[in-house]
Amino acid sequence: MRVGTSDAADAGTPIGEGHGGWLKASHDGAGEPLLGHLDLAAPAAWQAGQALSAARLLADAQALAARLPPRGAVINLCTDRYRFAVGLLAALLRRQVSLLPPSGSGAALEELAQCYPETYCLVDGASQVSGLPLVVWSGAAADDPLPSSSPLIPADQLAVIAFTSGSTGDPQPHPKCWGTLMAGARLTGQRLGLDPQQAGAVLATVPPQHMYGLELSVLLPLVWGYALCAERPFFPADVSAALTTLPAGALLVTTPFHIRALLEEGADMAPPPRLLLSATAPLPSAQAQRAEQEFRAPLLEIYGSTETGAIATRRSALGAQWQTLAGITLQRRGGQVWVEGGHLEGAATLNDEVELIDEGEFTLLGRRGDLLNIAGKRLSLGELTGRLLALSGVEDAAVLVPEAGCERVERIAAVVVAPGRSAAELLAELRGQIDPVFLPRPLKLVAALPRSATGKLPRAALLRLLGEP
Amino acid sequence: MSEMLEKEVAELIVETLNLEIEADAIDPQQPLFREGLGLDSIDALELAMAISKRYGFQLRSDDSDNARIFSSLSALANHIARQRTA
Repeated sequence: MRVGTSDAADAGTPIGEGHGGWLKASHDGAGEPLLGHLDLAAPAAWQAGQALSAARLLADAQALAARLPPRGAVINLCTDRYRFAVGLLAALLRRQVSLLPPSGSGAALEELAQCYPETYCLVDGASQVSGLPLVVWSGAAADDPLPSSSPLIPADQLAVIAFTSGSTGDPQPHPKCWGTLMAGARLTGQRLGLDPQQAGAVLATVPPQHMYGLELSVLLPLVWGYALCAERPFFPADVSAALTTLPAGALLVTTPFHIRALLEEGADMAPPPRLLLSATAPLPSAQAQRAEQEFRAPLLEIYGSTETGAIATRRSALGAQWQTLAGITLQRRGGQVWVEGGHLEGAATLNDEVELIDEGEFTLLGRRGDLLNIAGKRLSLGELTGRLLALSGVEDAAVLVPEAGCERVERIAAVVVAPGRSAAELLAELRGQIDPVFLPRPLKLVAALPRSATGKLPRAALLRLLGEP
Repeated sequence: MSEMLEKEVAELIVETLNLEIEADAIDPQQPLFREGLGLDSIDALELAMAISKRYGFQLRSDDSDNARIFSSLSALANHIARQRTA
């Protein structure tokens, strides 16, 4: 366990990191078990209020595996998280790789299929996918015998290829071996204080088809012997309803967007979750504090990327510093920050600009390439956004450089949601905090930001907003 | 269900989602999501929050007729008329 300052335990290691050798089950053994459940009769999933045992999950995976076509790669589009997990395990049993497309759009799927001609889609309902072979999900028959042990999967077996979205270029493949995924889920669970002897349920508002959703809502429960929740509650009232069907003390895997909605609706969170987890975008500290108070649970933000998976966490209500997972270190070399150790197979660079406090602790400054340099002064768009968000009355904000690349001095535009505030007031407050060259021109007040399905802000949509009268 | 409520909901949609159209340009029978207005799931969450504030009830996605509720402006306004407490 990394030794930090006295409050590091509060901020990064809520429970402890003492599960010893079991955590190091590793790349050189006979393989990794599909499931970490100590007792196969224990629940591995909850579906419509019913517990499904680990043995049931294995039986379904084996039955589905027997039906999969002899092709190399599967795009698992199951919307039911239990069925997704069964599909993932069935593909592993058949030594097929699961592809995580950069988006669920038909175009993205077709692009993948062109690069991986062996691809088919696994679906669990009406599908709008065309042009790809489809397999409709089915599990074991009710009277099929239940397995009595968990099959082993070689640690070096290619399990998943995740793709980064095209905002920085063409979709890039990031292959993950089963051992790497398992090791990452162990490190994350260790940080979260999970305990297989006291396994609970994991409820998630995010889909399983991207790295954060896969790691936190599927792999984490599988490895730690917890029970994943098949449903994906969407509206705040759905989250409340789903919690009532689960044992007390569930983990809630969600995003800043859903946390805001739950707070605004005053969602009833009973029985209270044991832990709130957020990722995909930074959560303002004030909102984290409010969520912790209202939902009576600690909130941890997860930092990671498609390339690396989860690599750090922070207790956002207590501080802005991130603590890396055990064994993961950050180092600045040649102008870039490299992350290595832990579950990572090699060294990777970060997509974000960070300030290193030590090799295991850092603050985020903003996305790489996000750094503004105006008249020799530097500021990141992320920091500017953060300052805007911190102004009283500001609910959402985005900044961008509309005319990047022109020879004129760049100007920063801001699009801000702040009911009841005027642009002049906000600018006046901001003026005291940053160099005047960074003051947004224009600072446009809008009713809402054009966030995409994943909460990202397409630049084109922001530019359209700015162009409006 | 009154046409007035339909107009009110159309205005709520345009205002909440900052759509670049006039409220009365929304065809009451046109789909709101995917085709039609082209709204996505994030819009749905925003809309749910606005509806809860304005009309005092919370949307649920496990409502068996959820697909129908969001199928058009007219269907959404009908649902609000049945559920509203405010």
